[in-house]
Amino acid sequence: MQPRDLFLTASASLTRNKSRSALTILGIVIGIAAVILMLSIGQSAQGLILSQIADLGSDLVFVEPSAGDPTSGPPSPFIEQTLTMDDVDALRDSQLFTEVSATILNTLTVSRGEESKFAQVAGVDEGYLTVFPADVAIGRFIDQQDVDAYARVAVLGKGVAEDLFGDLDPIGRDIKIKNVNMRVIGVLEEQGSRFFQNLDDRIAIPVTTAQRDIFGVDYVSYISARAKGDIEFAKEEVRWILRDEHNIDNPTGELAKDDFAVSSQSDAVAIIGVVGSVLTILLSSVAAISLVVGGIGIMNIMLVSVTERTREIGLRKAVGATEKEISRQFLLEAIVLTMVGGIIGVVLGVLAALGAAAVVSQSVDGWSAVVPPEAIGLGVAVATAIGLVFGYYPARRAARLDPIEALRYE
Amino acid sequence: MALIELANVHKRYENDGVVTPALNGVTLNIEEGEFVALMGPSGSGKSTLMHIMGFLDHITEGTYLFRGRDVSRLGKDDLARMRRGDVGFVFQAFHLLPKSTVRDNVTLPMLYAGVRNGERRERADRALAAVGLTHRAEHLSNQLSGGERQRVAIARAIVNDPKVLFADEPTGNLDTKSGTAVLNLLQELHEQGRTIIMVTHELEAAEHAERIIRIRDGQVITDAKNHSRRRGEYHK
Repeated sequence: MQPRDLFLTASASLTRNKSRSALTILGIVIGIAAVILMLSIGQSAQGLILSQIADLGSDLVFVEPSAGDPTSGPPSPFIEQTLTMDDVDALRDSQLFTEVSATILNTLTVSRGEESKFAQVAGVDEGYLTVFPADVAIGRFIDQQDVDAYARVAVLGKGVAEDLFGDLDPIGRDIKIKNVNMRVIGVLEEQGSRFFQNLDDRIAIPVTTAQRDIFGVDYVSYISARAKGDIEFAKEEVRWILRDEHNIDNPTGELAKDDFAVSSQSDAVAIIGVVGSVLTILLSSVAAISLVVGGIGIMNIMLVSVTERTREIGLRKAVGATEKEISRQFLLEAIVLTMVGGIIGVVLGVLAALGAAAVVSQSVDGWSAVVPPEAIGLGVAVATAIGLVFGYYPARRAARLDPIEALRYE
Repeated sequence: MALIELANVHKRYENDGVVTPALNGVTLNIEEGEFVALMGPSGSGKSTLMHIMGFLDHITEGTYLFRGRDVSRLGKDDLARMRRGDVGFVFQAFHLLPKSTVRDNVTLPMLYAGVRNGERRERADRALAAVGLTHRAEHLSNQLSGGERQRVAIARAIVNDPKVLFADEPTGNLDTKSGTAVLNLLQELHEQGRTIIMVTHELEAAEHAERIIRIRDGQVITDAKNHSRRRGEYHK
């Protein structure tokens, strides 16, 4: 049979039974659409995080406390807070950095008169704005004098300012953080979310005040610094300085022995890449399962169709169809079904991805729809392959029918 | 050289180790242009004989020469190819594709026989004209009466201009009037020079043929010219 005739025969059989064909491909349509949607959301999220990391700048070194040997069991949720202002001073003294900044973070009740709310309180110094760049809308930001003087001053994020003060000008007025009166000296411009934290709900106060008067501790949550020269060299220097400060005997420089971790933008990018590929593998397995289920549906319906059309198969054989021609016809029917299902699935998936991005971008700044072009081709190709795999067995069954038996089939 | 030469043909079916004989040494010749009726009760082997002559089944023993060519040992694919041009079938249950048009049904064998696209329509219409159904070409086959359906099946069987036309109980599902029309049509095709082999258990249908072969228990018991041919009369 000519390929063209084969194709026309297969499509004629499918259009003869439109509603069944439509139901048959539903599994594939949903499977492929879900794959496209998930891939798109995954890539959008990854793209957003990567762009925010890129905003940090490639010279930023980030120091956090760390729970020691990462290979000895799962990391403890109770990480010992090992970083102090002495570490900050030691790094400043090293002359390796243009900027060293310490931050301590906690969520506390903040109130003004009757108004109160939970807000993230960040004990910072003037270097804070180099890590989370923001313009000061009114007033000024915390400076070194505030830090040195344990000043009871606060700079509000735009969201907190609106919640506590409404239309009032907050400058010069007091708020209460954990019963300590703090005077508002500035309000930041809207910053949006970063790494899924709403920076507009943050209150910045001098790190010294935060440690002594608010939290009653002497550690800092993390230290950030901007390297003057080679970033890898700077990271290694930070490690040696802090080992010295923390009296860690670690002559071979094993990271597992340290009670802190040093990372940079490129480390974060690498981690996001790993997280991204793990996520992709996870989503792909879920998608693969759903597509296998869809494929089994196709096989099931094709088997029913072969049984129903036993007499047709017998007739085709009687007029000279070979086994190969019969199996090709049924295989092609399965492939046409799944390919059409794949195309519809891709279209629906892309529409769903655009819709999802439109919704998400209203609450997450910088979120944009990413539809990976290779996913479109892949979606159709995978769907077609499913038709090939799951259509094979029914097609063989059809081809092997004995023509005499098939013609007698009631 | 006869069109069909069967010599000592045996056919046995084997199912789960149980051997059922269907044909026990059939020897017969059929010449080109004959109209032969194969008669016998059910289970006699007449259908098996037709299936073998029509390349739908293999023989277990003996030889089958078709136009002098030994086809006894052909494989499945070769038999399928033989069915494309050399034989045409008409079945008791018509076996039309229900949601396809009459013309598409008649076109079907040409798809497998490799007839060029441009030629198909003309040949289908010629076959439909031969069975008097030109006006039904665009109808769906399930909109037709039983008699019309069988005539479409005949048109389908002759569209590739086969050497022999096999009719398996062609009147079995038809009333008297439609059955008469189908038998007359077969006679007409025979008079145009076609070879027709009809399997039937109805004597009145068989009497339309010019030669009647009776089969019982897988053997030919009589094989004689039919001197009292019926024309245009057939009662159930």
